[in-house]
Amino acid sequence: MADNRAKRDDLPRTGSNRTTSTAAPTGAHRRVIERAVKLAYGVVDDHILQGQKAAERLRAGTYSSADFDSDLKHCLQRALDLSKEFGVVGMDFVDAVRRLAGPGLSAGSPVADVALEVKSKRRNQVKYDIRSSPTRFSPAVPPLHSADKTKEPLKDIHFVVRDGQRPVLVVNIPDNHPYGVYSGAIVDSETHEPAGFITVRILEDEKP
Amino acid sequence: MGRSRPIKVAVIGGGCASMAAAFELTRPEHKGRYQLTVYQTGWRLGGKGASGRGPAGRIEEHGLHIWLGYYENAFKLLRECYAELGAGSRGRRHVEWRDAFFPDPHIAVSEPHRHGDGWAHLTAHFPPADGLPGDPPTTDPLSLRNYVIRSAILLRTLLIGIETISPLDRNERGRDDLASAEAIVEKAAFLLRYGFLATAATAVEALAVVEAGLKMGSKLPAGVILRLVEAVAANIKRRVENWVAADDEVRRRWEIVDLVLAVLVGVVRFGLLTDPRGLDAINHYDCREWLRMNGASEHALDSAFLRGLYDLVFAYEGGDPSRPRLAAGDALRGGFRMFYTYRGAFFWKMRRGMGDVVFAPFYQVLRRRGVRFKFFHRLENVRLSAAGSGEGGERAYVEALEFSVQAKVRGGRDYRPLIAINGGPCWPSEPEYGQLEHGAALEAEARDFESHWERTRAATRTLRVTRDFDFVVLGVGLGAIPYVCKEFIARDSRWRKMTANVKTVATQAFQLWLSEDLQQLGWEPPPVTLSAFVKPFDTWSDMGQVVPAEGWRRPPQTIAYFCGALHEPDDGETTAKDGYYAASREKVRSNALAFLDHEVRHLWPKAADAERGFRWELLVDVGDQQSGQERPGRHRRGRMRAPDRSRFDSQFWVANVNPTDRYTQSIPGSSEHRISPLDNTYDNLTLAGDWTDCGYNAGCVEAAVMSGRLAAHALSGSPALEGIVGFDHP
Repeated sequence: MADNRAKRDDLPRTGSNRTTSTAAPTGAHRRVIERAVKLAYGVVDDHILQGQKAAERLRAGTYSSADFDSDLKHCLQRALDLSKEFGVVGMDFVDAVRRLAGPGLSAGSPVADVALEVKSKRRNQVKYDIRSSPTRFSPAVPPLHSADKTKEPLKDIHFVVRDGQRPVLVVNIPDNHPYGVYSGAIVDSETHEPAGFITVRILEDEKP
Repeated sequence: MGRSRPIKVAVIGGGCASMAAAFELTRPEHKGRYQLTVYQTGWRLGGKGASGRGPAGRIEEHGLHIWLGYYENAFKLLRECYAELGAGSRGRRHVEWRDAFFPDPHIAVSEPHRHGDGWAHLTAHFPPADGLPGDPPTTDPLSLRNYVIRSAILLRTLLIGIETISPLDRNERGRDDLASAEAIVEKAAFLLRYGFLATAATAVEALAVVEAGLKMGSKLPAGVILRLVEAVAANIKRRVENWVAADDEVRRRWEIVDLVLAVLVGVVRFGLLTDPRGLDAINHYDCREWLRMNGASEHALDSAFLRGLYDLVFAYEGGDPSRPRLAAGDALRGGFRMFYTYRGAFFWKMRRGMGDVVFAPFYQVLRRRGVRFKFFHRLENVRLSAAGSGEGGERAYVEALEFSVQAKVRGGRDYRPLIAINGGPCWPSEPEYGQLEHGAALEAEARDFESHWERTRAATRTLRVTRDFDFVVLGVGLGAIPYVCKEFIARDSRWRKMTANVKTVATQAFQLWLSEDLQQLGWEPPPVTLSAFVKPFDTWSDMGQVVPAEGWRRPPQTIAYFCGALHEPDDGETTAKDGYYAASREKVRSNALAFLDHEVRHLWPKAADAERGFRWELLVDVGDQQSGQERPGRHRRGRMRAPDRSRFDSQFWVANVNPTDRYTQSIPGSSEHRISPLDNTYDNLTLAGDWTDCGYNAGCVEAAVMSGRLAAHALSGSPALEGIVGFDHP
């Protein structure tokens, strides 16, 4: 009886499209955005935490001028840290956009031709962006900081510049250094003017 | 499919989803390709949206029904239905959709006074929004990014609103003379006290104000800085206590700020802006739990605003008030749509019963289009083809539909279900017995055709595939699935998971007709829909707008509907017993009596007092009126004899414990187990109902209509998925 029965057609899709953007970010673009998002909620979290701490102290009647001073310093330090991090993210973002857009997009002054040498047993990623050739100035890299102030800065990062050779950026990562993102500026040691940015990401060791 | 003959579609059930599917499948564009027959238990359409007309033509609802301003699909179809009805009326009087609804901008929530007896009611007015629900879409507002922006704007508005009550003039800020030092102290104190409620922004801003004082440096005498900070602390300590006690308005506003902040933090923290699952990514969390994870304070989590959200969707597992459970993603989706995408008004209230406003027009239009309706047909079983018997990898399919015929219509004619009251077509609260074979006996017996436990039948009927139907739209309530789809559940693990995980809850409701108006009862604010009130009837709506549609000789001054979840026993045995329905009705009656005696005075202080209880004489008894428009026939409720508690028997109440009457919930972790109407596992079947995976997985009219439209798409390819508003919502 059912030989001639009607059948529904299979449909191209059977569920909602929940994707919020038709151009889902991928690759470098995605990493940059994820980083920005992480930083953004870090800001909100910090604000909430600080508000809660201040409120608790007020409620307990223990808020004093010393607390105020500490809070203010913390605020300022955090603002500086975040500004620095956002600066790095901004550079990463521009870089990612530039790569996605292809060679037609000008990135401003030419990127310096620098070799990289990383001395580390840890999994890592290093990104840098130098806008002037290190042969034209004396580059220096102050310690790179993490947004998490409990983590020691990365201190052993320097340039090796020899006549007639490509400058080499040497990054030394101690074996026991905590994982995280460390970033900072590359400066001209003479003028202390920033000449670029560097970010070192120490990744968690893979589980066996 | 490539067929020339019409395709016969059996639509099971007559609720919103089924009507939407039928409306779509019989559009003129299909040129009669689909021949539909709707099979309905009992004498009326409507499902959980059914209403009837009782004595004095009064409207008796399944529960409280209010349409919201974001019900885009529901309004679109209903407006088209009214337009078609009007076009076919050939000059006869017809009602426009705008005449059937009126915009209501008021909503209220309640909270117990923190000190002492009683409840406080917080009324909000939502301003009119551009457009009307069901209008063609303008831009696409249904994006998370848009919602986040709207949330930020709301946050800012709320913050500014709070600042306006500052004792300080905003112009004081920045003055650098000595006199302003005290102003800075005041300002800092004012801001810091909100930090007490764990709100971050103001605490930081307060510090900035103090910082400004510091920067005055040399302009301030020695010791002023220290005095400034100490004064802030002392001031706060004193004023926070006063503020918590006295400044409820600010506290409530802050609770909303707190919740919105938590939502914003959560959206970012959980990466929802980029997650391909959209808000479904957090559906395994309870809404409160998720908000708590993102920094919401306990004050905000227990706020009237959030409790009201749970109440509106009966989000209590098993009806137990101590088990609130609401999936975070579904809650956010509903909340975003409710607050940020409504058009016209926040609420749209019906001027007549939902059956009259919605299902009578659909019935009339569908009849005109050639749809057949078979009332008194209770589905007993959906029979599947033998598993794996198909040739060439054929899928399993619905082989037969087995019905009980509850009553036969005289002369084999079609049952005519509508009656006219005040000139408009309505559904009666009881069958038109005169049309039925043995009608007098059935009436004397008071046969309840809609009861799950009433199994008496006049005949059986089996529909067979190809002979009687080609496709099936299964539009019964989720609660009925375990009874009518046993073969699916036995054979298919997805159906087992769906029925085990997607929960329903029984609800309870009662309606009052009162002889005094709201002001006389002691309610001063505008007529409202109010939630978060005392359990078990946590939601109240003034329904005075329906008075003119009823048939009273001396109209009541107020009509009030109350509803809430009904706490049921956990064991299935009790709920399966024959007497369960009657026992549940008695429980609701008892709940309502206690509520009126002890709780309603917190809403209507002049309707009751703590010593004497409720003023029962306020209730308007049909028996006191000899209305010319009162329908002949038996009145199911008892007659009032004296103005005491027994007078309540003249009012109307329901216990929605029938499987098909139960409300579909959005329990955490349940959405993933829903099955879509688009699912093609059984290739002549589609599902329709607010319990399906329809893009908006919530128990409401809009979800049901979306599901019905999807069911139509599954069978015919139309409407386009992109045209189903909200289906592709993040």
